[in-house]
Amino acid sequence: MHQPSPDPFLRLEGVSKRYAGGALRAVDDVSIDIRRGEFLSLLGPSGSGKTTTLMMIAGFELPSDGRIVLSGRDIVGIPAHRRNFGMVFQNYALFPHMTVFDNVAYPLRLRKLAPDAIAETVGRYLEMVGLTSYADRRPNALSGGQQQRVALARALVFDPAVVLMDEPLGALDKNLREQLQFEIKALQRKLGITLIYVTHDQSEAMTMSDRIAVFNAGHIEQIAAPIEIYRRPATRFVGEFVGESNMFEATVSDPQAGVVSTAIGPVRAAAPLDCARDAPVLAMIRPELIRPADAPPADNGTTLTVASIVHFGDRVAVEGSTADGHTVRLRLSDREAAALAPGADLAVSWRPDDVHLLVP
Amino acid sequence: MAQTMPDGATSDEPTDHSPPRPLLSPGVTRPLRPWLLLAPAIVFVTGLFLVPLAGILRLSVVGPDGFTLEAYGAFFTDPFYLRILGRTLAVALTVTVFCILLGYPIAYVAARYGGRLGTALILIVTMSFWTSFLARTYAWMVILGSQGLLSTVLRGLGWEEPPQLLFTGIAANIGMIHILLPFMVLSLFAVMQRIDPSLLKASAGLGATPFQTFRTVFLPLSAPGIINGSALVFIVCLGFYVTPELLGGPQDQMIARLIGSQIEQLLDWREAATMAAVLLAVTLALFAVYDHFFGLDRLWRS
Repeated sequence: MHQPSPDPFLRLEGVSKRYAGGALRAVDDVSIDIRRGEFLSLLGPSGSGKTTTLMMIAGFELPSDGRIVLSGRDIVGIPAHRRNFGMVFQNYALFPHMTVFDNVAYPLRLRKLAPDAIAETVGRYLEMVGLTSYADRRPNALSGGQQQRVALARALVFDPAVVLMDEPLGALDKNLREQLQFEIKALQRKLGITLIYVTHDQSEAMTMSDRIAVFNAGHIEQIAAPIEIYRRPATRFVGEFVGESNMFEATVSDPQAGVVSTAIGPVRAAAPLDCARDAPVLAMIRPELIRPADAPPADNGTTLTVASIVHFGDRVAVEGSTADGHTVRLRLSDREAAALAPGADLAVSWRPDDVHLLVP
Repeated sequence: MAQTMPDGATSDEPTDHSPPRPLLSPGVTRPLRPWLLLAPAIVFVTGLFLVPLAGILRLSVVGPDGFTLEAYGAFFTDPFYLRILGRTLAVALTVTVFCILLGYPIAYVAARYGGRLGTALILIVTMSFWTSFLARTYAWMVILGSQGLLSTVLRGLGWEEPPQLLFTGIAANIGMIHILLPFMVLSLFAVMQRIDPSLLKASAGLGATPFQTFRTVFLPLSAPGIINGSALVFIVCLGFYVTPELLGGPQDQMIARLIGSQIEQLLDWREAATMAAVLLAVTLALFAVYDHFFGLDRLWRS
């Protein structure tokens, strides 16, 4: 397996993109260090600036401010066609007037490789994406998944310094998407590709990435490994955008003991808090970490009235409300939820380890 | 009560378990409707085009002693007639080539850069459709005449004896190019607008210079527009009468003018009909070629 090296390979330094004479900030002071061989996802809702950031890295958009440095060299002034970056688009962007073979051979022909070297390399990459027998077809004779595999081969075949993908699986159905996620990840590992992947699908980012940069309103809220993002979101936005969460506004009542008071009662975290008494914080508990209990404990627990039960097959989403009307969401197994009915009382508890406190 | 109602009458309850009847019963009404919609056009085309056309074709093969191909023989053995047919084809080709050369950049800018500039360009191009082409032809007479705008400007620049432009082949070509250019621009624009901009980004991202991207991606994808526009311009140009008649000289006669003089001066209706038939045959042959390329267009549409 490829180990990402610690030196920054591609670095964004205070990159901004303003439109309409500076009034509109599509991207606002974004800085990222990307390691060689790393799979970095840019995750965020639409309009959060992730695609604009990718387009600036690709060279299709010019930053209003900041530097983009590749191996120590500022590449902002270098046009897209001289950056040697592979790019995969959501709509595949295959050349409709060329065969699959010619599409994949295109970047190699531009680099004036010998015809037999081109044939050999294209053949190797078509085999990698499982489309050897489709070499002579036109793109419109292929399914969406096959077209995206061709686009993938075309973006990788010339051994680019960085591969950029803009929601490449957005147009595919769920099963195909999951299969291609797996294939892209496997190819990225095998070839040691530095890959920047734009998506609004948090589960896609979670399953594929080495690190995720969560975008919101043009800036980065947090960059971290997927599990870190999930367990310890840096901001309320991250906690709510990535996964389901219960987020309670709280004030610190005992910093030493790690206790905060919330609308659903006192919540105790595992570690002492590094803030003053009465400081405002947010207490976040993931729904699957809230467990049914025999009786509610003094802290880290409460009694809920079950409001709704939704079966997803592999899990059951339960919503309950506290006596004063605050909603708490749980994830239970089918067996755990079997005895529940709307209107029933449910005592729940959670472990101090599972409480994540963040400064709003 | 519902069961006793006659078939086709409204009833709240279906009488059997077959799916409810659609409002338009498919067996009767629907195949008729396209014909109904087409009926006025069919009557119009048959009465005012197909019947007279058959008349012309008949005229070309009927002599005083019944059926004869004499007129066709006369046409294809007369070097003068053949030269005019050749000239007509050459002029149509010249006009088509110039329309491509002038129209492609306009359509390219309008389609690629879009926005206000693109709208303005297309508006200017279509605006010339709103002016009578006779008026536009007379305008060229004013511009190109020996005391006209161009000659005056050239004299002002010190050219003492500017060349005669009006009543030459050049003037006729300029007029026809001007009148046919919008057809070319709109044909090109329609196709270019459909070219996915991300293909051009993809090409640049894969290492192609802007010129390489144009040559290997944009140009081949816009080829159907060139073919459509060329077919249109070429075919319209073959039958052009007024503009070459007014702007060109007697030595620049095209076949439409020849047909006119056959009727007006020689009263030889049979020869005129023959020439019209030959022109029609050439046009149809070109449409067959066009049809071949139209298939190609289909192939490229994703």
